[in-house]
Amino acid sequence: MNRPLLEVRELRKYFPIRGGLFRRVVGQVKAVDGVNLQLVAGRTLGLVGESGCGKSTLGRAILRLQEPTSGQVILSGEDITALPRQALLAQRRQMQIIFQDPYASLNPRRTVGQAIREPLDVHRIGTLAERQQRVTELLDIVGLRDSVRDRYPHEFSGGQRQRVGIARALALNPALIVADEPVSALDVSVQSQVLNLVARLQREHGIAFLFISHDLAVIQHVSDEVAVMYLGRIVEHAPAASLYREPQHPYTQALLSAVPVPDPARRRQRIVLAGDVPSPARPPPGCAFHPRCPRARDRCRQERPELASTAGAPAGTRVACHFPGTEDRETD
Amino acid sequence: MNHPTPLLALRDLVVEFDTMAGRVRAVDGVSLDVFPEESLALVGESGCGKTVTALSILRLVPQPPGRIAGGSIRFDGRDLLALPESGMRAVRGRDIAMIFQEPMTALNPVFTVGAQLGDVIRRHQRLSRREARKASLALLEQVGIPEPGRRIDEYPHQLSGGQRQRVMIAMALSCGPRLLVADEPTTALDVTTQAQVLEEIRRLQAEYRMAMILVTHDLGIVAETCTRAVVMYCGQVVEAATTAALFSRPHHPYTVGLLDSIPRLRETRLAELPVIPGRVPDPLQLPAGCRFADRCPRVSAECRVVSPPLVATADGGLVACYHPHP
Amino acid sequence: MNAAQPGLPAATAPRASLWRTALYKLRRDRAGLLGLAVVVLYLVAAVGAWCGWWAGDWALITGTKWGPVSAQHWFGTNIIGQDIFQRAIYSTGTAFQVGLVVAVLAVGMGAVIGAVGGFFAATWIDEIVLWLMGVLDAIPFYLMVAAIAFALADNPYAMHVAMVSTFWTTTGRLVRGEVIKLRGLEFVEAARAIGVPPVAIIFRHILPNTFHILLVQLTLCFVDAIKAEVVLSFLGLGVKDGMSWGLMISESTLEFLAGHFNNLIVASALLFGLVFAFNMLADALQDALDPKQVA
Repeated sequence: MNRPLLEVRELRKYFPIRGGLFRRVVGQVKAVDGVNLQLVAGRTLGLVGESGCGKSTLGRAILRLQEPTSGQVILSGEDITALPRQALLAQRRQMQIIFQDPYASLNPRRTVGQAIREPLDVHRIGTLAERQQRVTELLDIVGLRDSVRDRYPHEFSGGQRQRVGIARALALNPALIVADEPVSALDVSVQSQVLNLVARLQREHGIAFLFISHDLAVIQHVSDEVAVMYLGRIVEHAPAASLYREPQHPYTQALLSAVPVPDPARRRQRIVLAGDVPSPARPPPGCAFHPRCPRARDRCRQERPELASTAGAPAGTRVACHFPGTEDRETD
Repeated sequence: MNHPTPLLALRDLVVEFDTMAGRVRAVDGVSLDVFPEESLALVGESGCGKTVTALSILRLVPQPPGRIAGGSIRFDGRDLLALPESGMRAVRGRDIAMIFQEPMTALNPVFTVGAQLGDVIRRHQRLSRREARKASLALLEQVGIPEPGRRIDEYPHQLSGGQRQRVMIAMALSCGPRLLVADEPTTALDVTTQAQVLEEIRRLQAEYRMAMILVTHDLGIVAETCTRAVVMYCGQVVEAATTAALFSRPHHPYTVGLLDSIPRLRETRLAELPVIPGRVPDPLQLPAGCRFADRCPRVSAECRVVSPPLVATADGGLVACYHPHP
Repeated sequence: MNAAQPGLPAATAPRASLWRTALYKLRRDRAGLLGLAVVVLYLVAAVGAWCGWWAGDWALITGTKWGPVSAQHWFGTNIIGQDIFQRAIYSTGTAFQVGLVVAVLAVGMGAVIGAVGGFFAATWIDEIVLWLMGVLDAIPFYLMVAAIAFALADNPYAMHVAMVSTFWTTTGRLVRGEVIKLRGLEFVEAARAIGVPPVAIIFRHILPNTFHILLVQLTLCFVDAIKAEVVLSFLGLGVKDGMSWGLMISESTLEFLAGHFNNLIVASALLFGLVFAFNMLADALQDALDPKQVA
């Protein structure tokens, strides 16, 4: 294994809850609560979880778009979290983000060409002519014609806007791109077009992706490895192939079985979880998943399981569960 | 077909919207039947007219800019388009109920769940406040809300997304409608919550013996929830079939492309997902002939001249294509 | 890439920009257009007065005391025989000068301060902005003007300073609220992600998206300034060496007992017409520019 491009150590992001007359801090939402990750250059890590699990916050904390509360983010050997603001602006060349909502992520008052050129302008790369040339190149890479550069975002469909967003993220030749639900706002037939584009970029440009999604099917298509998040913590992290074939954590299993399958002939046994995701302001003690877990026992209510490799699981799989394994799924 | 008379029959429905750039036909000649107790899926991508079709059944298309420009909607023998507005109000809720995609915006944030539910019940039935509250409690329990006694006095923002959608379902069921129109009821929910809510809808549909129209873009939900499906593209029906037939032997190239291209859990990861090339045409500049022609791998010269009519297929479905898949 | 030809927003699709949309809606708004026409008429009168094309003889005594309406004096003359029509037109110039200066400065100031406060919401910068707006809003307007006029002694711009320093808070609050909404949007986050410094984000990405507010505020502020100018001039705190509708109304107090109302009627009617037209225009602009309605 090469040295990782990105290493996240014990990353935490807490949001204070203020209340009372003087807006004192009365509690904390632990959106990201001690996450460890590694990502090798040119590979894709899929980060999957339901809304409110902290996956988007994690992505933004890694880029320092939101200041982490504690922990380290090491990109190409440099600790991002320790950088002063000015040095951080320079480091931004290496890491980029693609957003979920292609309608909100482009400034409605600036043309597509301006939007794509802006990163080059900010970092003063090349002459104006060279920048214009680069915009043409980038539009071509994402499959848009050069003639669209003078158009405004509202003249484009969702899929095209997402391509513009991707072109913009590529402008600075980043080593890492955080893709935050990049296809969930798109129509089904367009999703595949954009997913293919992402997969191709990763192949041809060797960019590492942290691909965040709530959709396990989408994650499967692009990821080499998958991390499953629940209430601010990673509960399972495994090579994609083994995670989909032999999920170890009961939450992963429930998530997989909840995905509607477009095949009426194959009605599967479905694990329907009871209740809702608890509030991250008041996570349950012990294993955060225990109130919804079909396997929960006394130990789960008291002791929080750590992410660790487990006997009987495929190589490379790590899971945070006291009673991991696939057996429940088969007998259910 | 060996079905009884349909509960709801749309014939050549046309719905138009006036926009700045011109008049758009959001729904262009849609005909479909819904039979008692069946669950029919209305599938398509955004802008295909599926939601507008659903809204026009209850005559809820915003007017202006929209208007129902032609066709008929017959519910249980009555022509809904000929009813006066007061008659339509009596139909809404009592005979046909609707649930929406975003339960937070469909609930009034300043009233408790119980107040809103009781209100709906009392609008259609002569009940005292106390009786209405009792009925509300029973309904909340029935749609699977934990601790209904506590939840009934809470405000919408205190509930989770899944619970809010359950409250919406309770409201829809309160007067025992014979047809439930569900417009993307689980799109705003997480997968595990979506699974719960769909399970609930299925159960209640059987229990109340309602017919249901489920509007969705998610073919997975169609496969798991509905008995029949109607596929729409650019305001028109392109294919209708039983769910089993549609998924095992889709006939229209668009249906085939859609089924291939959706990201779904697979045994192994594909190098490249199949895609439908191009994009949906501009509703203001629809091509002559078949609207899918520009994206269709089976296109021929005749497709670009006259729009193909819906014709019966060998397995009992309908398809609008000159060169359907066998 | 698999054949998808996504690079072509249907080439002939109507290119409706945000401004074009607004213009389209404005053109269908009869009341708004009427308002605009009246405002333009006033503007022409004002520009003419500034350039000296007409109403140059407003200070000259050209007739007899309290002369009647005639072909020479369209609205009659005042107590010392000056032409009321010329004075009214010249006052239009004054009104526009005050309105424009105050509206542009107050709205500009409100936009910048409000945007900075909103962008740095929940930090000490925003606390200061909020405190400043709170303090200024708490002082009664005419007291404030009197104080500033007194402090600046005979400076003819005391009135302007007073108005700008109090009028900007309305725009400031509106822009601050809008910016708090905008800064949460992804395109602002996108700008931060590529390393755009905060000042550039505010001016390049955020403020241009508040233009709809600023434009409406400009019209409202303009009207407010003109109304305030009239009241202040009437009270003797406004225009010192010039002519204004306020001064005309003030002058008319000497004429009531003698039964002459020309000054009062002309000044009030012109003020009313302008304010009314501007309000119609502002309403129309608000409807046309509201991004929530542009759909």
